[in-house]
Amino acid sequence: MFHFLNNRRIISANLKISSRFRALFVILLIFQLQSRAQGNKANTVSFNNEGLSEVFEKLESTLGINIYYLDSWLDDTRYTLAYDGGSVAHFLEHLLESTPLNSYQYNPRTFIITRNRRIYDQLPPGFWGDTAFEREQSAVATAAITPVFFDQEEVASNPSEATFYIGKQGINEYATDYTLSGLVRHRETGKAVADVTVLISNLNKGSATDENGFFQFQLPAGVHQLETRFVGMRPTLSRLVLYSSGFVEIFVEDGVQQLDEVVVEARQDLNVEEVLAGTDRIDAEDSKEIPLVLGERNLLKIATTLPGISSAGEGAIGVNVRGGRSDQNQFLLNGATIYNPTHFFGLFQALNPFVVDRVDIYKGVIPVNYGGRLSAVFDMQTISGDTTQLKGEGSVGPVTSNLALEIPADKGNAALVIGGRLAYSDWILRSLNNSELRGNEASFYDLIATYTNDINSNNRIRATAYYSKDRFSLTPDSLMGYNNRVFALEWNRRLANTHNLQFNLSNSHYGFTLNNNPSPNAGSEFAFALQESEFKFWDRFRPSTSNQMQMGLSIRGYRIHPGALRPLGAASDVAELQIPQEQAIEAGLFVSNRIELSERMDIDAGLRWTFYGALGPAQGRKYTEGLPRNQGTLTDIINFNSGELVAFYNGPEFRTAARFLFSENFSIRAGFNSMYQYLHALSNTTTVSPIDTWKLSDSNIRPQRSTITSLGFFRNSSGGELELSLEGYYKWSDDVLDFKSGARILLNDRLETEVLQGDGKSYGLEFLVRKNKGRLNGWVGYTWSRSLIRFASKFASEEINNGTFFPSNYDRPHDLSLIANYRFTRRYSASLNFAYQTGRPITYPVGQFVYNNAEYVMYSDRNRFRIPDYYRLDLGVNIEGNHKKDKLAHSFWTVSVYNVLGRNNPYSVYFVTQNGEVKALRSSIFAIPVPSITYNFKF
Amino acid sequence: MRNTNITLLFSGLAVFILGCIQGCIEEYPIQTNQQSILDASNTLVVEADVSDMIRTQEIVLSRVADFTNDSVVSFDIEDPNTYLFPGQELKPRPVLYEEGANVRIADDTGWEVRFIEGTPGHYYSESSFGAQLQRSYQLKITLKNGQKVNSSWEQLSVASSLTAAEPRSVNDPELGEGIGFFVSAQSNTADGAYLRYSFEETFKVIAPLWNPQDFVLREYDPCADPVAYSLELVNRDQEEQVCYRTLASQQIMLASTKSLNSGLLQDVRVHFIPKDDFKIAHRYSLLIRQHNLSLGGYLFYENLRNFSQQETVFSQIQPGAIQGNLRADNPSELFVIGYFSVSGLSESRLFLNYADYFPDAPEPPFVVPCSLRSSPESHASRCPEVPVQGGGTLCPLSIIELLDLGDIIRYAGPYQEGMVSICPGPYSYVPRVCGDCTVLGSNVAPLFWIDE
Repeated sequence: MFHFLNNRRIISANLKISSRFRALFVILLIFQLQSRAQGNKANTVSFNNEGLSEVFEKLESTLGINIYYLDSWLDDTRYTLAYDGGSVAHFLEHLLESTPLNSYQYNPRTFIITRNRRIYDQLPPGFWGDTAFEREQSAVATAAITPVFFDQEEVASNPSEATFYIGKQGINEYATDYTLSGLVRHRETGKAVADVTVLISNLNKGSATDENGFFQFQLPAGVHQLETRFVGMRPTLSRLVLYSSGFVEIFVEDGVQQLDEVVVEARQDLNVEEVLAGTDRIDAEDSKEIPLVLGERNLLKIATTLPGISSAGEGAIGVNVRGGRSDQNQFLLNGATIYNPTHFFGLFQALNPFVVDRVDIYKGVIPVNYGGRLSAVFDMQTISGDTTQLKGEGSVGPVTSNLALEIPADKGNAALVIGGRLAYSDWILRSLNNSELRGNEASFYDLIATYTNDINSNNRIRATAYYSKDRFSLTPDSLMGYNNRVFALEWNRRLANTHNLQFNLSNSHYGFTLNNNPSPNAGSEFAFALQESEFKFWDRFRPSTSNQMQMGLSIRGYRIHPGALRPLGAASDVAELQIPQEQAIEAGLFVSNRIELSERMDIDAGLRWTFYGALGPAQGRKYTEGLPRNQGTLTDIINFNSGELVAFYNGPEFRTAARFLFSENFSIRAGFNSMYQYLHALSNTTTVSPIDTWKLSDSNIRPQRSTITSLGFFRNSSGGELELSLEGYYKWSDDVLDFKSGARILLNDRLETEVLQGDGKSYGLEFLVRKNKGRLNGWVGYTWSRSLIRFASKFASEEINNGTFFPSNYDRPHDLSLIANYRFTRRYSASLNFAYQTGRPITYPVGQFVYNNAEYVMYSDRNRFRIPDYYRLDLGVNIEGNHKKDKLAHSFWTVSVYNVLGRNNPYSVYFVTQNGEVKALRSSIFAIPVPSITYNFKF
Repeated sequence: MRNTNITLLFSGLAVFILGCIQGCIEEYPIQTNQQSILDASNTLVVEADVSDMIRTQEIVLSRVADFTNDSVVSFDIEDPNTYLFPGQELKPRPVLYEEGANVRIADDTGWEVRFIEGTPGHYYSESSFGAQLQRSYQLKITLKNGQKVNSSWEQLSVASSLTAAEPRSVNDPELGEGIGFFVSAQSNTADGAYLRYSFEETFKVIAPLWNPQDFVLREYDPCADPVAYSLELVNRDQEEQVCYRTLASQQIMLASTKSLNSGLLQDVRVHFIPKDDFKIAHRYSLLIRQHNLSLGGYLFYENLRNFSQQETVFSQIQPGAIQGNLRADNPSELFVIGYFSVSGLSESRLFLNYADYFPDAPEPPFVVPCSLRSSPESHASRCPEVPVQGGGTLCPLSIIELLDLGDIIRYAGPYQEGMVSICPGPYSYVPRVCGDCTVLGSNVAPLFWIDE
């Protein structure tokens, strides 16, 4: 009869509540059993000019029932009638017909009288996704799990009922619809509460609060009933007297609730109703059971299990989305760009896993408020922190330790979240006896702090600071290091007339260094640095019920120090060398409008116009038109002064999506998206390396452009057990970058002579089945896709593979992922992760030759062969500590084995000349099963 | 106690993991396809480094061998000496030399020199010459099939000369104790010098168990009963005790003074020999050559090097066709690998004796362990059809059988009491490499050789 929540996330979030519930359930259970045992007595009661309170009292005493009501509700009306022994419920209904009161039979012997409102023992029709139902923010929220208790009733007291008078009668009384917006806040903490169900029960309208606690309705003037419901919160009921558009603030508080039966539901139909094609969300909390290498939670690795997202290999930095280069993805942390969100060649996520709340991934139609990268946006949001009590979460694993703290700063309003992570591999490497590894160094750490303050119901600010650093040496005479630094400031302002304004200010820095010590006087340090600053402002509002708009602008400034060579060590004779810095400004003006054309058809039309200017001081080099760029064809060098415009580009980006609902659980979505990218990562390695430099577009290097068209079918099984989707896309890119063979990138101030710009096309079919409910949950994703590029020219030296299309380094036609989680009990669960991918293309030599007494291999066309297919199985077990209420810390162990099958998946195949002889070698990162154990705790 | 265990567990795991991250490399069979085979056969390799030293200049032409060409790619060393001298290649590896080509070098004044094929694929200038400053040179090749290849015009680079080259005993953290060879060079132009180093090492090899006499087997008939033969000891008719072995460098060593203020390249190690390497057991000589390259030539060698090594497990340079400064008239039919460089050459020859560097250390051991062996002189009658081995006898092959197998043993003296042998005979002998230094080198001292 009683089910516990079967969603882990709820359990941990509401641990205290659920343990209190348990005692209550027992009491209620006993109570119910007793009442059943008593049975129904047939009786007749008559009333003669009696008031309602007398009627109720008489009924109670003669029938042995309980009726709950407030005296203040009862008026002076006198009643003369008789109860003849039939259904008490019917009798009460008849009795109260002409009053504003309703009765509700809670159980055979208990009746509850309410004023105005009716107690529903089922949700209004269409609650789970009727199209008439409004849904705020659905463009962003996708698969967020919003638990809602079915049939919940408070026991301790009646809902606090308050009356709000909104607006005043004005001249535009003739308006039929007014906008009611509101904010739901927690009474004690003052924090906004997201995902609260808000109902206008008299109109059968419903919505849910967005991530900032806001909701919005279009309502006619008049008196309305506004209810809120949320797990663990006392439901509220308010009376609204609406004269015109306005704002209302609702406070909710923790509530003891009688749970008859708990059904946890995902916002299941969002999958079907979402308009923007190609969006995904990874929820940090939901993904913590997925077994991962070295026991480290890594949301980016989880992202690669979703269709359309892949990586070049286990040790490859970055991901490839729908056949795009990895520099075509934008990683945002609370709005600010992170250039390299990974540690140690992509094996670890460069962000404390406990401070990450979720990652929203846009790989199809990208909302207009993002821009600058062709393929995808990974929008990472951190948790906002508890404003009432200190909380912490941490883990100890074989390679790193993590700790995150939530510290209340201003009780009820503000909280500070700090997180850190440290790898101790350096210490381990030093203590090794193995001389091969002893000289090596590998260490990294990252730190994050965010401060969130809900100043009042209309203003919220968040400040973020982040730093990560990596250092490693894999050859004896060199040392590499890289770091990310991010500052972000957000201000969310709610205007009373329903405008939601957001201001973002951010600054990102990425740098790397490369130290070399080949001979005593030649020690040198090479340093690269990139800075990006952005100001962004946008406004979200609803001009009408069927219309959501978003408009704003973004201004971004870039400054790149492409390279400085400095002497290292006192003996060094290395001359300082500085490649001139580059700077540019990028701006975007954007507007989008989501229109509900009909109950079935939604259109989201967006336009972002981007402007880009490369600015001086700079040297503009001109080359003879139509000839390969080299020293010989350089015709002119123009010197630009500081701030002068060196090159200018601009263009429209169309972000358009449409959705048609065939039924409430079957829809079709189409999207068209075009993008510009002015900043390019330059890599002459087969997989991305942390020391890839970035280059801004200038007069010689054009921006990359792409358009993607997609069409998808989305279907949910009835009951929402299963989500199915099938989506196809075709993407065309112009001016993608590559290099001539053996190009030198570092310290090259004439990169345009090495760069090739060509076309790319990629297409694919993505299939996903997801099961969100039940003991067994998880997903299966399969992608068939191709990613091809072409570099054609009149001149052989400017061509790759004779100017024909060839597979890119990350073209992996078949990609299958299976993630499954099985919960045995509340404390034990097991998970499985299987991945299969076609081996990535690789450039193979065609033969060997002798040069200066040694053998070498000769390479010809790129990517003619593939390395063997990749497959891997991981298993993991999660063991939770017990759920005792007073325990100091809640803990769980994760034991996992990565690559259980011990498959020696080649990461690369390469050819070396050793002792004058050619050898083909293949390397793999994890060729054997890798066990790990991680201890996680939470207080 | 519990904590220690957990620490151990964690560090154990991490070691295991990190060790694997860096170490899981294994050999892999090379794949090929029809297109690759075609591409390989259509590629000419030109080694042409002409110097400013007046001498007979050499140009080598060859072809790329595809991976199905077993005679080149899966070349098995069948020299019988190899089993006596494991791990060393004595025969040069086969190369698909390009024969019958017409090779010339011309300068911008109209002067031209022809190259004549000496050994297959090796073309030598008809007369001695050295490249001169202020002249431009072009290499012109016409292949047997009429295909023409020309280089771009190249000028002599003489930006730097060797200022010092010296051997030093070093203790390398990775390679251990040994002798390192260091060079220094001074660039005399502001642009900096692009340098390539190569070397030739020559060392004295002394056969450790040499004897002035050797066996001569005649009139051997294993079928006769008893076996017919005549075995004599005669004085060896050639020098087989002291030889000189010369090996060329196989690595590409590059250095540049481009980024150095003073233009002084200091202490670049071009070679290292471990302390226990038999090469330095006696007298050793190293000829270090410094080639001044143009920037184009430097980049060519850099790519050649980068495409044949791997920096780390995690990142690999995207390889591709290496374009030098040589082009065929019809590039779609013939691709040319190689760089015609006209380089200022400076050389330095060093000599060293082991004892000068490691006075108290024992001499490095010979390249293979050598010991005296003995076996019966003759054997029971046996016809040639019967396999030599597998007779079931415990005794090793008899001396006359060994001599009949090939040139694989040398006489080392009469059998002496106390020698360890299962079936002793009248003589003792050794594997050829222990008693005949010509297995490893030439018995004629090179012209440059100076003793002590």
